Amino acid sequence: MKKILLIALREYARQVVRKAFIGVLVFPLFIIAIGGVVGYISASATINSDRGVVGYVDPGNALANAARPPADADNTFQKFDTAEAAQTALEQKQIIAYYALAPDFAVSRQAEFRYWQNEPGRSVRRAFEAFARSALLADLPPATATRLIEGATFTQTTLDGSRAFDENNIMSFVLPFIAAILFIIALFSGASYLLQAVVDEKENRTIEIVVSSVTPMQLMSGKVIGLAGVGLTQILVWLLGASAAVFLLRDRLEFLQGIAIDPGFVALAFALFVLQYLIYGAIMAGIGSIVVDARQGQSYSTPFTLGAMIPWFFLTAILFDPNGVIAVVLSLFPLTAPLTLLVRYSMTSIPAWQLAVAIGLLILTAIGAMWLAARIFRIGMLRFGQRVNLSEIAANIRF
Amino acid sequence: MSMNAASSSNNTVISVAHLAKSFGAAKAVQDVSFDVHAGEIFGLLGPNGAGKTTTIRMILDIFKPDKGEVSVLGGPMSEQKKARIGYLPEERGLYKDLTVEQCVTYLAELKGVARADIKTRAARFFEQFDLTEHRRKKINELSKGMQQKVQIISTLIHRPALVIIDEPFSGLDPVNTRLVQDLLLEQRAQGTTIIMSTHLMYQVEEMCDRLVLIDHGKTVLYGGVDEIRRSHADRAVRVVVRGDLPAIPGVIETSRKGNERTLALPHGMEPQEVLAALVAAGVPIEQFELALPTMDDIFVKVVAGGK
Repeated sequence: MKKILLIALREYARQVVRKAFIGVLVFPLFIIAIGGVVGYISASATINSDRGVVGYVDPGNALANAARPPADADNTFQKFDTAEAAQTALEQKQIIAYYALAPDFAVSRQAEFRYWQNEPGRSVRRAFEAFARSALLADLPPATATRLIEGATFTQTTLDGSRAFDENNIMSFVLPFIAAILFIIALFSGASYLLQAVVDEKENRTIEIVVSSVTPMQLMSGKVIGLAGVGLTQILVWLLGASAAVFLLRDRLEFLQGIAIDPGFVALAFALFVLQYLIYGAIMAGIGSIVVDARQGQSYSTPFTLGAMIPWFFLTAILFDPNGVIAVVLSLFPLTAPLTLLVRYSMTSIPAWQLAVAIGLLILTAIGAMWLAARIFRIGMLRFGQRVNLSEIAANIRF
Repeated sequence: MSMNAASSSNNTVISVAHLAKSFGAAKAVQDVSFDVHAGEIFGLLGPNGAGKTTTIRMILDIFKPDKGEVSVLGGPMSEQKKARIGYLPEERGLYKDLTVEQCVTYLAELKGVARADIKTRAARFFEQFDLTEHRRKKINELSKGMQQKVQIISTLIHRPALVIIDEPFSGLDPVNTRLVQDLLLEQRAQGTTIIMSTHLMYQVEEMCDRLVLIDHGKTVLYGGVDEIRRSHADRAVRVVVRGDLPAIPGVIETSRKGNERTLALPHGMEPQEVLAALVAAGVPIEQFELALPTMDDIFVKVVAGGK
């Protein structure tokens, strides 16, 4: 075990200092940072332009009893006697917009919203609507009036209560998708590092020296574990970056405020990542040991990479019918299971038996793939300068 | 010549009996048997493609033999035994992106040597091999000869009881060849058993105690170096005398190189009879020896004879 750890640590250390890895690590953070800065600036700009006094012309005196917002609210309301006076104030930028209410506003609910150049955001209209409603509710007890103005938030919950979709929490729907994308990037970059590491070890002829100290299985396990660490580091750094961005921007960007991370989802994503990584790691190590160079390795690994991407091609079918035949089949097939399960998680409550069967099959496949890869590795690792053909592998695998 | 590894004694470090290994249709090794004794330098010889490397890989449990038995350090290979073996394969390399120190440390750690020990042992080796000032350089900045020295350090740093070394002198200049040769002799003096595969037959004569010659995957020659040379000797003596060489009945002078004459002996005539005749004739003898063939001659004769 100590030797496996040594190999894992060396592979980990070797990859994380590579410029290519640092690039992969930093790129999404860079995108998040750019997005954050742009979002922050535009949010600040919007908020600033939406702050200020909103005028209203109320010939029918319908809003006489309206509850005045506190003085430090983003919007306060000023009554004008005539539309002309309000227009002048607007042109002089004393107010950001004004409402011209119909004389029979209390009955007709007709009003015109006038602004200068830029249309104020929804928050301004919502604030005025609340102000107008408060006039109609002036006779009710304050608590009742407040409830009526705030309205209701609906939360859809699945029958078993395992999944809830809060209309204010759009992120609970989006997060699994983001996780699925991160998952696939980390999986394939980890697997391609592994392929490269095995090919490198063959190319620089260190493999035979190493296997005189450790068994081929130890060497392969060490590499798989070390590079799983690299993939997890990648995900972790991205998540930390995203969390930092959310933390910094949550006061500014409304959609971030409802973010709640579901621990069940995190646990599922982690388990799926580890299992699928072990399967792909074994496949890549096996391929790395039988090819001559990295380019040949890439062409051998492409079919497997496409295999894991199959759920993307069926994304529409999965989204429209998350418990349909396609979704269920893809959830159970080990190569496509992780991505399908992650996408379905956001759409539906996945039956427990499906999760259990899918994870069980993934575990069995991972064990089988590691076993097979270790044997292929033994056959291919010392074949320098020539690839090993399939019939030779079949003839030399001993069950 | 014994081909039966079952006759191994307590002194035996490696015992290989009737090994066979095929890759597809290619029979890499068909029937190889030999014993390696403790504290000797054992030559593993053979032409290219004879099956030497496959045999070594089976000894090290890198390949599983199709047939035959291998016993290493008293039994089958185990993880503990791997830590007592130093192996320098023919296809060897180093981690080019690591420094000399990092590379040696990593390979020694895989052999289970503690970090503190690695540091002191490596410092001594770097000094001995003139690598101290290069120890922080990356491997790919070193010349081929220097890389070869780093590889030899990595093979010996864990103080193995058994060293298996394939072509230890390839890529080395005469000075470093001498350095490595001395180092291997020093290791033998300390009791280390060494299996050496080389194409340099004069090195075999100089360094090896015993050898096996493999050809077409089979053992064709096995035994002590002197014993083999003697058994392949033509019936001839080499003589250097002052003055003229008197005629010795039955003996034919076959060649003359400077003062040295090679005399072929007829069947039934012993070298002692030649010596006695020379002494009786009162000729001052400066040199008298059996005309033993070189290992090079034997190698060519055996391998060419097998074709």
